[in-house]
Amino acid sequence: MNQGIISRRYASALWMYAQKNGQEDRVYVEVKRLCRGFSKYEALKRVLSNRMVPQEDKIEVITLVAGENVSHVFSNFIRLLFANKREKFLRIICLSFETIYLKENKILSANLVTAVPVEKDMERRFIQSLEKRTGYSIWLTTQVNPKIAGGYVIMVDTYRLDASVVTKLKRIEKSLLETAINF
Amino acid sequence: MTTEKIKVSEIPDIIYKTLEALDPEKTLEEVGTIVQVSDGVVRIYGLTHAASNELLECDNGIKAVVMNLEEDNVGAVLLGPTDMVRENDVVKRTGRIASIMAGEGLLGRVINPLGEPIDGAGPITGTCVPMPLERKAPGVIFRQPVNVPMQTGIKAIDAMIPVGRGQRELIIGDRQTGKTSIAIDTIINQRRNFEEGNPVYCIYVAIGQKASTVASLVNTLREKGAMDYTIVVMATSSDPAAVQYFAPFAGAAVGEYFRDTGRHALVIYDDLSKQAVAYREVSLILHRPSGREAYPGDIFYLHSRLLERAAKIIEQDEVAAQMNDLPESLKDKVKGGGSLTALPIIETQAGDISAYIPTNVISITDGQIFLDTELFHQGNRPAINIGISVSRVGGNAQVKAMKKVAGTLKIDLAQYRELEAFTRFGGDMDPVTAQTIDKGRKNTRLLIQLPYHPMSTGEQIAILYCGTHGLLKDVPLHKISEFESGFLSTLRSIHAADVLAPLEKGEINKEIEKTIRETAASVARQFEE
Ligand SMILES: Nc1ncnc2c1ncn2[C@@H]1O[C@H](COP(=O)(O)OP(=O)(O)OP(=O)(O)O)[C@@H](O)[C@H]1O
Ligand SMILES: [Mg+2]
Repeated sequence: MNQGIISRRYASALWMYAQKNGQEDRVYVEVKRLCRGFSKYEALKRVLSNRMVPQEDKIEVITLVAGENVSHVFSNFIRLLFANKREKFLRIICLSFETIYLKENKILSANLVTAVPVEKDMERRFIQSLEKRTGYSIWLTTQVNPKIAGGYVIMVDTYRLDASVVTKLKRIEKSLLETAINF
Repeated sequence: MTTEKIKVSEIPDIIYKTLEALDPEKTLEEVGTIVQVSDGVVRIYGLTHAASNELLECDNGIKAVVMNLEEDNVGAVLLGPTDMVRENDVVKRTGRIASIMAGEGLLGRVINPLGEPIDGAGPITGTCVPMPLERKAPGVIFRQPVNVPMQTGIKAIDAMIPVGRGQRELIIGDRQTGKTSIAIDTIINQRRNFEEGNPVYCIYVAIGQKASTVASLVNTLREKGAMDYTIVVMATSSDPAAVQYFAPFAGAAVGEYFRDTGRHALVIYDDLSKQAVAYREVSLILHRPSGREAYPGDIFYLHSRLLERAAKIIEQDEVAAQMNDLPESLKDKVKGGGSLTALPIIETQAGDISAYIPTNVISITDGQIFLDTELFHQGNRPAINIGISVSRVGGNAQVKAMKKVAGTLKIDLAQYRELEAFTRFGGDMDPVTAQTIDKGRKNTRLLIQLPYHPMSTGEQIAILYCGTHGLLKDVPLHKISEFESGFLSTLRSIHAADVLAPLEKGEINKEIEKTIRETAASVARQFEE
């Protein structure tokens, strides 16, 4: 029930601690790597929740995923987390930290998925128009995924605009099916 | 589907729908990422604007409902198999509160709590409107006191524990005591209303039962012609806990569709003990604090807000149209005078009604029908313990003739039980005591009734008249049920119009009483020893 509150508190503390030490950008990169590690390797979560794995090993794994030479801010924080037995909240803490960092720096993260690579110029124009509209700086990542067949999927912050051809086709299929039922 | 069947008028409809679907403005979604999946519950990071009870959808179509709103993340229960979702899947808001599509097309169908048909009889047809699963009960000013009977067709209940439309009457007892049978009888008994063009729509919600049990029950309903006006909502024991937890809410939502469009509906929750267990399971996974018997602290509120939705709505259409929390989809369809009656079922363990869930539900409902294992084994079925069963509001709904006939029945029976206990110690009996005991025994025998054989009100009144007026004194105890069928078939064949028809409407007079006495006397003569 309090998972959200606890995670948010740890994330805020990490943010303040990083700021105090002038390490917020570095910690952000480490946290971000760890986030990616969580979504990329399901084994990471299993290792962390395995009681048979010694705590020191868990800390070592986390450090490795976060980029080996981690800042002392980050490594202190991880140790505190284990000392307080809150390591199972690590994933949400990282996500919360990322949210705080972006918000404090007035940055929006955006992701653009297309079926074929987009030209750099296109990308720049896209960023500019988004920045103008939102007043935030845009951090854009791009992905090429032929499975979407055409069109694009944009994700900005927690919003997603799906204008891909697959999704359009799926919608057409669905509305045809629904109309067919009424005959 | 053949080409000839496609109506030209429907082509623009398709095009319109397709165009609307293509409009990119409409496809802006708010999304979050699943960070944890466990037994039917997911935790999603993001979705900051999601509302409680909002319906969420995963990219593969699996739906979930928001239960916990926390800082930075939400806890949601899955309405599909857990193994279909994985961590890192994207989940989007739908902006809709979890609802079920309700309409006349549901009648005769078996659906799951999402409103999807599971009887293999094709898609649901006709117009349906979305009805929210969770909805506030109508306020007092939109309600009206209970004053129309909900006939169960069971003599013991209609005479002594009468239920009214809009009432919440609990059926409670140990396992295998005939709880479900009472509910099913009540549904079957609504056949007459249906035939007379004044239907009481029935919704049977099966929670955590075996699919085969429900299937045979649906068969019974079909055989008795009861599926014409009945909808079965089913969440079996193999469905996810969350789906079982939602089942009664789906039933209530469908019931409200009929209630708020000015019709009468009856909803049966079979049973809420299993729903409570499902809710406990969901809550434990969501890390909600638990209390007595490990149930979450708000379980009382869960059942009270569900049962509050049973109501008799005020007659005036103008007032009813102002009803609180009316879903948008119903606004132009609202009519007054409708009702939703609820018959929740609770299973007790070894007759313990002081356990947490039974006490809760007893305090929420307007009365209880207690079923007793011992009575059941003695052959007194339906095994209703009259002494402790009550109906706090149904009395006002009882028809006059029934009130008159049944008035002394409950007291007579109580007196009989007391005396009988006493005579077990032996000793001589004075003639008055002997007579009271004889009458009591015969009345008890009269109340025995087979399942799936509900009896019309007129016939109930006629036969109970015989019992309460001592017309059975010359009929031996073991011939009572034979007398009953002989007496009723005589009435049916020669006094349908002058006795049964008025009794059915609740009218009784000297003339009718005379005919009953004469018929009883002539039938009784055949059984004299
Ligand atoms: N009035 C009755 N007369 C004779 N038999 C009955 C009567 N009512 C129920 N029974 C029989 O008793 C058995 C149990 O009935 P039912 O399924 O209604 O009980 P239940 O309390 O709902 O059981 P469960 O706890 O399994 O849900 C059934 O076989 C049914 O046919
Ligand atoms: Mg049952």
